Amino acid sequence: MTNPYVRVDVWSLAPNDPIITAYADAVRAMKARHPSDPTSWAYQAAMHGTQDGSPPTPPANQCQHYSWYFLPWHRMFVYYFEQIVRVQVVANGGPATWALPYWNYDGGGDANKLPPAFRDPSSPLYVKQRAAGFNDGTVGLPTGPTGITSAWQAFDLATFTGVGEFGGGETNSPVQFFAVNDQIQAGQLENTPHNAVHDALGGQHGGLMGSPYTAALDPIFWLHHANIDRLWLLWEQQTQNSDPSDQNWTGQNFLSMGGFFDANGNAIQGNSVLTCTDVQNPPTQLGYTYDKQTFPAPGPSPVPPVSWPPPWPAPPQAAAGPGSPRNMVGATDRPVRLVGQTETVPVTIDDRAVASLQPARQQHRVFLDLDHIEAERNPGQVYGVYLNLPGQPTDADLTDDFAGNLSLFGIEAARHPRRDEHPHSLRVSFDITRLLDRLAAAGSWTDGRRLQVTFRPTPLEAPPWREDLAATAHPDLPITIGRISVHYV
Amino acid sequence: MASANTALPRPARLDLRQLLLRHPELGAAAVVAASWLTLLVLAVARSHGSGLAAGTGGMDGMTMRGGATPGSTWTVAVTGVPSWVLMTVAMMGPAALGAIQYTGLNSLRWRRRRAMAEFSAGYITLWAVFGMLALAAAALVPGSSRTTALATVLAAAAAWQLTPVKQWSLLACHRTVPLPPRGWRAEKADFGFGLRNGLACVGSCWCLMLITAVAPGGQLLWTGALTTVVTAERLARRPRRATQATAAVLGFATMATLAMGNLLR
Repeated sequence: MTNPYVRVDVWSLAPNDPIITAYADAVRAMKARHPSDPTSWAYQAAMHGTQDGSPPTPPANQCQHYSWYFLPWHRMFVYYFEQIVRVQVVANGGPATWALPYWNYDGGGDANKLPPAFRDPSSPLYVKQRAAGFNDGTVGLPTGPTGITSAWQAFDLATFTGVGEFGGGETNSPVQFFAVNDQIQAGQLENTPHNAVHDALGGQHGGLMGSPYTAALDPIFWLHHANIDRLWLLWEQQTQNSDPSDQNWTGQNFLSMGGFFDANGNAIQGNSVLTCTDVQNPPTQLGYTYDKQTFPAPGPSPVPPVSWPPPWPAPPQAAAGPGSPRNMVGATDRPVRLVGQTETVPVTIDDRAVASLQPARQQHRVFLDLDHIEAERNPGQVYGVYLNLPGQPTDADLTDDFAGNLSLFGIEAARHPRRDEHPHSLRVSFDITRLLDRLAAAGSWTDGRRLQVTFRPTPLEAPPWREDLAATAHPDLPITIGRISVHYV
Repeated sequence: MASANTALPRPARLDLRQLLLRHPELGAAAVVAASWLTLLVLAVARSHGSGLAAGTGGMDGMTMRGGATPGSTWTVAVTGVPSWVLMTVAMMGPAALGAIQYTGLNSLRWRRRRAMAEFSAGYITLWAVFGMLALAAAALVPGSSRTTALATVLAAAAAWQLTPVKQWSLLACHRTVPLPPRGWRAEKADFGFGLRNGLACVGSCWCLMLITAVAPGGQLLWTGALTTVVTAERLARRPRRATQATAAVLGFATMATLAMGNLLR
């Protein structure tokens, strides 16, 4: 299959480029359709998530989050949406090769700001319900290695499946919010930039992008997901396709969730139903590609494995296969509460637990887990999580000590699911092996029995005269983290 | 040669070790299997009139002793508790294995067994207390009304399946709690998690368990059928659909019991 459709970076286009104006005109037409029409704006958004019960389940509320189905389901969802839009674009006299642009917020310059066409109040691409400062172009998403726009941490991972891995945890059937032991847990690409960008754009006050139930009503949602799709495709190329080979993934379709609709609003059925393996290679299977092969800038340079301070075992010699069992070696014994200020919590490593490890034949990996994260509603605030961060950190300290981002996208939906599912809390997991190597090599981790875990609110990028827009406090929407633990694999 | 020979068994040993590290609940699963085996042996012994069953109370220990006097009610209840606990381990054990695994995996390795034992103690304590009450209540029912009592409990169980409290309890069965790593906080949290999980499971399944207490016979069959129901409900991804399906099955069982009672009359 050739690639007649090329998705381009929205920031490479002028605000009045035909690709953008055609999208705006099509969105206007879709918004005018009756909500019961599968090709209408409301219906498409509700397929991702809705709280008002229209359209009825099963077509509504079928988005896949916090499992290994997150990436393939959203690839299919955007693919069919793009076809619906394209038909309208052509009907409006637009280009027949129209393809959905993507928002590469990590592209440098102003790319972290909302594209201008989406800020124009007279445009159908504009929605009022966004975090303050985005609609006037004042603020931007936090960038850099400790920001929320870069997927460098996800691209450091070579494994798709599993807790704390690239693509998310394994399940054998689709559910909207999949959980293990009562806790949902995202893959790294889903965590950052996906969840974090949703949170930042949604903000504290009910912005559409901040909740799975409303996110797809914002026209920027689709460009955000096109970018996530682009990043997955790049990772597939980087790893020579390390997607799952398990039949529960490759053979999975999403008919049980409600399925998709073609450009004319007909339900996709029979042999046309796509499975995950049918969407692993968009250029050859789905007929679209992306204009650039821009990989995320790498994070901090890795250092050679070094000995960690006692009681940790010496660095092992050989590689282990994926899926080795986890061993908890330390944890906090009481919850942590976050309300928008920096908090530091010590985690004590247990000598006996470390002594029982047998590293000789395995490549070690260490994970930092944040368990039982709960909040009544998403506060729209992303936290950077750091290890052994000095009291007055420099930018270099922040980069070197960064473990990952904590964002709560979907927390209220997981706690109060609309479908017939169990309610859950959230768990976040970071691979901190290379971070511990860096800390040990730099001499900033000499006490192997204690790790200081710091939660630092990540402010939006705002000019000095509008620092109010970067405020992070959310005293009325506290986040509780039940436990912080360290696991050796 | 020597190194090649000695290397051969290593993968098998490693696999077993890895399996146990991933599934620390396998010990508890073995206990559940042993309880089923014991129930089977006791049922067979009872059918042959063996003193083994009589000596331990066997399955009779948890069944209704029709028409007991008020003074003997608590005696019946207390002496029936060991059998009740045995049956609880067999019936509720498969559904509780997930929580036991969670407790093990989220504990320091050197105290995994203790943590899982503390969880189990809390969980079984709740069920034992409920068992005493259930057996005492069942002992007050006249022996001539066993079929009617069974039909009544089946109908009540079907109705309970559709209540909000049942839904809430079933959802609560899935909840886990953060477990501190060591010290008295860890002991308290492990036992408390068992109590909490047990309370949720009693709330969800108390009426189902009553069926085994009032059934006039065929306890092993009832236990097997109800174990299947309880486990399926616990594992179901769609809780409302699962409880509604169970309610329908129990409704059908109510009708069948009433019909059989009329036939036997």
